[in-house]
Amino acid sequence: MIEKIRQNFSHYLVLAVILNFGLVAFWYFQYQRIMQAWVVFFTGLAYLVWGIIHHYLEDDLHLKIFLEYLSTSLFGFLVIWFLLLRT
Amino acid sequence: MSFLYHLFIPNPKNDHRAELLKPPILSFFTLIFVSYQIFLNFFSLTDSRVLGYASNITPERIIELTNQKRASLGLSPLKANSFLSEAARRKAGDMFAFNYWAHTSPSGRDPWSFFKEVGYRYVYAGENLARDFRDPESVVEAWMSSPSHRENLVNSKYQEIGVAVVDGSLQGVETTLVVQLFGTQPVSMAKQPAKTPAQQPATQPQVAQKPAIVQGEEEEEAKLRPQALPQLPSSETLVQKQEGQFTPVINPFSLTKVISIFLVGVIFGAFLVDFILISEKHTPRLSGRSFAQMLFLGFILLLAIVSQQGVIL
Repeated sequence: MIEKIRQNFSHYLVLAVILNFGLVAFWYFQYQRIMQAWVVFFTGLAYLVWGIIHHYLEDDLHLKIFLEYLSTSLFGFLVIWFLLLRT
Repeated sequence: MSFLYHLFIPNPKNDHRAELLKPPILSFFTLIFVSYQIFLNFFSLTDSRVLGYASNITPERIIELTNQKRASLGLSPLKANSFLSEAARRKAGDMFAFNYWAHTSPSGRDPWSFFKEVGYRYVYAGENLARDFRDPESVVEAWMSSPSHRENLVNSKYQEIGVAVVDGSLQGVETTLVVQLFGTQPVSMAKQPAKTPAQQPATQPQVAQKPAIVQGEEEEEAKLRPQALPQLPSSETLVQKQEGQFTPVINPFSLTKVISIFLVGVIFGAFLVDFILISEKHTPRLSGRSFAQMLFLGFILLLAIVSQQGVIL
């Protein structure tokens, strides 16, 4: 698994950039709840797209894998979205 | 025990992938979380004695903290003015009564109308708003973090301040509103060195960018005339905060935050276990990348941890 990460270092670098950009944007809009919700939505979407492209390039893209990324990104988005609704 | 083992540990019986990390179970967790949120909304509406927002914000503390910030920058402290406090209380009452969260009401009523309503004449005036904060320090820090709100707090043109902290129901949510008004009366201006004509304030009020700042007409005679104040639209839900008042209740935000962190933490932990075990055994399988999932959930976990209650305007 660690060997896979080394082989696909550039892929993980892109993912790190996406997530870091999401963190900075979330902080930047710290008192604008609607903008924060959009930031989390687009970061979740970007993560899903990253997963699809990564597995496509690795030749192992499958519906099961797509659903796994979809359920994780949806779960993450909903957790933060409901939290923002409570603020 | 066997159920928990299959739920968290990858093994041949669960196709080397913890059940918790498979889309059906993860979706089930998401569904439980959403159901809990719906339940919490319903429970908040039916029994507001248990769930609700409580804060220990008082106008006196907001003024004290504002003056501390000004003092740190070498600015003179603002004097509390009861007319401004009354105008702030009326603004908060108007927001609750007409259900809006803005500097200007849906009917077009601007902040300055509340100054005029209580008979406060000004040459400079400003307004900062905040809602849903739990403590006064967070409110003032939030304003200081926003360049436009900070401009009001540390504006050397202001000499007086009025603050209202009012509880009520806004847009269907139990909330605590903080209205902070700044002003400088013409009489105060008269004590200062005379201005050149070019420095005279504009003859008509000019509303600046948010948060609201206005420069009003300088008047010859600066005498406050207390007036018979018009009545606010009645609202039984309004409760003005007094010093030391605190109502302990379960905070829906804190409850949601704790549950969110717990849920994301459990799933993150399951991915971590999966990553370690599968890395050691070099098990071939068709699945998503646990390391990537951990990065994403770590991002979500961080956002949940840093999320704070409170909005400013």
